Amino acid sequence: MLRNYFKIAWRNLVRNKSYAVLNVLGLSVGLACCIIITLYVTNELSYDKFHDNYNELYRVVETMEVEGKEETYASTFSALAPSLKNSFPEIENITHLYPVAGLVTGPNNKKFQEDKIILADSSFLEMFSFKMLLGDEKSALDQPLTMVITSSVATKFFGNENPVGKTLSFKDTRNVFDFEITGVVEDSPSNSHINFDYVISYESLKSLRPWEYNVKYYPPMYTYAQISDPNTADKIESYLPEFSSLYYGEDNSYMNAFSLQPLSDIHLRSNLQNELSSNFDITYIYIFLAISGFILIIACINFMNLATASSMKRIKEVGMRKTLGAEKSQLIRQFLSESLLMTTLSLAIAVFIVEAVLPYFNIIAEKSIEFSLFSSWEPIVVFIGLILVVGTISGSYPAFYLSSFRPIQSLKGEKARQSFSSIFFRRGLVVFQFFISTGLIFGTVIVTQQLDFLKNSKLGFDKEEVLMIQMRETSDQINANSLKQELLTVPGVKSVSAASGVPGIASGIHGFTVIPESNRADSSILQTLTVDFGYLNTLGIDVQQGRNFSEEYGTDEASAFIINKTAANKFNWENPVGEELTLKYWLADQVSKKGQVIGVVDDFQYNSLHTSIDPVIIHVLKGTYYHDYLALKLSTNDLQSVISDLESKWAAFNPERPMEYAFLDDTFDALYRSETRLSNIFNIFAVLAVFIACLGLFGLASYSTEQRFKEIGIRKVLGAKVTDIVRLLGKEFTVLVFISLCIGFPVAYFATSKWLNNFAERIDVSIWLFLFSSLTVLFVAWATISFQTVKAALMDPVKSLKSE
Amino acid sequence: MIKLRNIDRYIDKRLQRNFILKGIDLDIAEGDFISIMGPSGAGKSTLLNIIGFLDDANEGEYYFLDEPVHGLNEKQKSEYHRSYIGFVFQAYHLIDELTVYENIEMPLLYRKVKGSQRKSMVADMLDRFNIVAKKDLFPNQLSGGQQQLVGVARALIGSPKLILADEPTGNLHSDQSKEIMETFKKLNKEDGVTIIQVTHSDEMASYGDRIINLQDGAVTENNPYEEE
Repeated sequence: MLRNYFKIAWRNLVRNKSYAVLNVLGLSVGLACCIIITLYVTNELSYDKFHDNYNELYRVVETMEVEGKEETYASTFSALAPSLKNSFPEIENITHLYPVAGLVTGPNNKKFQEDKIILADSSFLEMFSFKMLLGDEKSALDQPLTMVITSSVATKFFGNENPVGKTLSFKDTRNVFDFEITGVVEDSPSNSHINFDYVISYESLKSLRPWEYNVKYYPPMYTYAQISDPNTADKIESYLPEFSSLYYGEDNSYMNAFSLQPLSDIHLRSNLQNELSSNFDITYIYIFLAISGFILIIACINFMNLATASSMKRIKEVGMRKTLGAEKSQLIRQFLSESLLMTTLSLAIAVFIVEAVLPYFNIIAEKSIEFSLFSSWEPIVVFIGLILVVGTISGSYPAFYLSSFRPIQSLKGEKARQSFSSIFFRRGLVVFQFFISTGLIFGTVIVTQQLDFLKNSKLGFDKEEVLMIQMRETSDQINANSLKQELLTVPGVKSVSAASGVPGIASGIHGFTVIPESNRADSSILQTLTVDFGYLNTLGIDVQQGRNFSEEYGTDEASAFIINKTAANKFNWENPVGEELTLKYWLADQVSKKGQVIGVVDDFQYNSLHTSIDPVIIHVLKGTYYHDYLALKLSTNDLQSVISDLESKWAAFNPERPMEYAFLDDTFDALYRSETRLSNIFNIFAVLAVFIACLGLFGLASYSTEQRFKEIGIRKVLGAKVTDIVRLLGKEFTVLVFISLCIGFPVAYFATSKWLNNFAERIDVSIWLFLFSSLTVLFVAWATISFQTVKAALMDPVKSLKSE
Repeated sequence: MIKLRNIDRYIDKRLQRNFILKGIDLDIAEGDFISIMGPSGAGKSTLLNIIGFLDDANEGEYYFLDEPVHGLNEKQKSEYHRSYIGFVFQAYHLIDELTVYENIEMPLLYRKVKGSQRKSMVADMLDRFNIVAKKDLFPNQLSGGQQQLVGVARALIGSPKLILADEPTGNLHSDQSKEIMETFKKLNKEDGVTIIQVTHSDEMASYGDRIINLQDGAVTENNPYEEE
C-alpha cells in the first residue's frame, strides 16, 4: 500500500514538474536556512562548554557605583584571588587571568609582537580543559618565569622539535625576561571566550611587574574560581557582599561589591565593562531562531498552498479511491506520506545546499562551523524529527482538505467549487507569509540605515586619513617627541600628535578624579584623555568656546584643561572657560594638576555609539608613559611610500620592534564589526525568506491563472486588452500583499524600535522608510505575479477555449 | 437485496425546496439486472449514487441486505464499498497516474489482499478482458472502450455482489458498447451479480431484465416490458 502511495506521489511529482520544483526548491532552501542557522546558534551556545567542569567554574565580577549608575566590571585586580581563597576555603581552585601583550623573541632572533598572552596561576590548566599535549598540567605553571605555549606557537618557533625545556624571551613595556617552556597545549578552541597563545605562570608577575603583584584596585585582571557544589557557590555568593564591605572597609566609597558569574553565562548573557573578548548576545540567538522558524513556516505555507491548489487536479482520484472503499484515514495517510516524501527529498537537497554554502557563510559570520551528517547520531535524529514535523505540518492541511471531499462531488467531473473557508485560509496564509517578509525587509532596511548612521554621522572628529602608530615601550613613549620630529619630515605627513588614546580604541582613556574648585563636593571620576599639543587639530576636533592648547602660552602643560560639552553640563557651567579644576591621578594621589578650563569642544564620539557620550577632560602632558599612540594626519596619494618612509624612521628609532599601525577609519569601522556581521547575516536570511515567499506566490499565481484560463480566453475574445487582463489577475494578490503590509509595519516598527533603543545615538524611523519598504515588497510581489499574468494575458484565446 | 422506502433527495434554495428525488419506493432482488431510464435531470444518477452510498438521501429509509444504510457511518460504508459494491462510470474515472495493472489492483490494496494473491487475481482479470498486452500502459494511452474495460475489470476484481454502472456506454461507440453489455449480461447470468445501470439507450436497456423509468424524481413506470 505504501508503495502505491509513493508511486502515485512520485508520478504526480514528475507529471507536474514545475510545481514540484517550486515546492521542493522552496522547502529545501528553507530547510537549508534552518540548518545553517541551527548550526550557527549551536556554535554560539557551545561556548565554554567544552571544559569538563564548566558547571563548577565562575568568574568573580565587581559592581560599582559610578556617578549614580551601577556598572559591573568583568575585571577585578590582582590581590583579590588570594584574599578570596583565604576567606572561603570552600573554593577549590582559584586563578588570576591577566592578558598582556609584548614582544616574544625565539631562537635565531625570530620576533613576533604577540597580543594573546595571559598570566595564570598553576591551577589554571587543571580548572580549564585546554588539552595538554606535552608537560604536566599540575606543575607546568608552578614556577616563576615558566610558560606554556600552544602547538601553533611551538611550530612557529621550533618547527617539529620538542619545545619543552627551551626558552623564549618576552619583553613588555620595559624589561626582557627569559621564560622556560614547560608545556604545550592545543590551540584554544574557537568557542572559548579565553583565547591565548601563551600562558605565563602568574608568579612571573613578581619579576615582570612587581608593582602589580597582589595589589588592590589594579591592574585590571580576571579572577576565576572553581566551586564544585552549586549550593556552596550560592552560599559564597550570599556572603560576598559582606566580604566586599569588609575587604574595602572605609575605602568603599564606590559601593564596590563582588559577585560570581557562571562561566557558561559569559558568552551569551554577559555584557559587562572590560570583557575579556567580545561576546554574543542571547537576544540575537532568539532573533535568529525566530528567523529560522519564520523561514520554515513560510516554506511550509508554500507547500500547503501549492498542494491544496494543485489538489483540484487530484479530486477525481480522491473520489475514485473513496468509491473503491478507501477510508478517510487511509487517504489522509496517503497524502501525508506524499508530503513526507517531498520533505525527505527537500531535506536531501538542503543538505547539499548546506555543504556547498557553509564555507561562504563561515566567511561572513567569521566562524569555522563544520557540518557532518553522519559524525554522530544527533543530526540524524534531528533530521528525522524535522522531516516528521515539517512533513506533517505542511501535509496535514492538504491531507484533511482533500480527504474530506465527498466522492460524488469529486466524481461529477466539474472543478469542485472551493469553499469560502478554504479560500480564506489560503489567502490568510499568503498574507501571513508576506507579513513576515514585510517585517524582515523593514527590519533589514532599519538595521542597514542605523549602521550607516553609526559609521558616518556625528562623530565630532575626522576619521579620514588618520594613521595611528602604537607605542608599546615606555622608553619610546617618553622619547616620543624626537620620533615625532622625525616623522614630521616625511612628505605627506601633515601633523603628528602623541596621546593616550584615539577615538575608536577601547583603551587609552583613563578614569581620574576631577574636582571642580567652584564646588569641591561635586568631585567625581571622569574620563581623561592625555594628549600633546596639536592633538585636536590632527583629529579635526573643533574647539567651540575658548581656545585650543598652544605652546605659546607656556603654561598649558601645567595648568590647562579642555572639556567636552557633556562635562560642562555635568558641572552646570554655562560659561566653562575660566573655571578651575583639579585633576587627581588615580594611582598616586600626590600627582595632581590644578588649572583652568581654557576651551570647550563639541562632544565627539570616543567609543562606539552603543555607549552614550561621557564627560571628557583633555589635558596636555609631554613625553609621558600615558602616551600609547601617535596620531598622524596624512595627505597623500602615495600611501605605500609614506608608510615605508614612516617604517624606516621607526626602525631607526626602535630597531627592536616592527612598527604597528592602523588607520583610524578602519579601527572605527571595526567597532561595529559585530553589528555589521549580524546585519549581513540578517540581510541574507531576510532576502531568502522573501525569495521563498515569492516562490509560493509564483506558484499560486500560476494556479489561479490556470484555473481562469477559460475566463481569460472569453474575456479576450470579447475584447479585453492585455493590460486589462494583467490588472484583473494582479488585483487579488495585490490586495493580499497590501493587507500584509498594513499588518507587518506596526509589528516591525515596534520590534526595530526596541533594537534601536540599544544605541545611544539612533535614527528616527521616517515615513520614507515605510514607503520605500512597501514599494519594494509590492514591486517584488508584482514582478513575481506579472510573470504569470502577462504570459496568460498574451496567450492565444483560441487555445484556451479549445482545451475546454 | 435493496429496499428503498419513500426516499427524498432535495436541495434547499433560498425560498423553495428543489426535489431531485421524491418518494421513491424500490425493491431490487439479488440477481436482478436493472436499467434505470429517463430524461436528463430526472434523478437517475442521484438514485444510483444513493444506492451506492455515494450520496445520502435527505429522507426515507434504505436497507441494503436488510441492513439500514441511513444508520451507517463512513467507515462502515467504506467497508461495503470494498466488499459488496463495484462502480462503473461513464467517464471511466481511472486514475491517470497509475497503469492499467495498478488501476485494477487498487481495490485489492484497500481490501488488504496479499501480494501474491493480488498478482494472480489481476492477471486473471487482464486475461478475462483480453488486455494483458496493455497492462503497463497508462489510461490516456488507451481508447475509450479499452478504458471502460479496465473500469469494468476494476469494478469486478473485488467480486462484488452489486455493480452500479452510470451510463457505462455513454462515451462509447456501438461495438464497444455491445462488448461491455455482453460482459454485464454474462456476469449477471453466470455469476449471479446484481447489476443496476443508468442508460439513455433503449438498446442498452434491453440487456437488462427490468426497466425503471424516472421522471422528475419519481418512478413512473416499473418494468414496462412486463406490461406489454
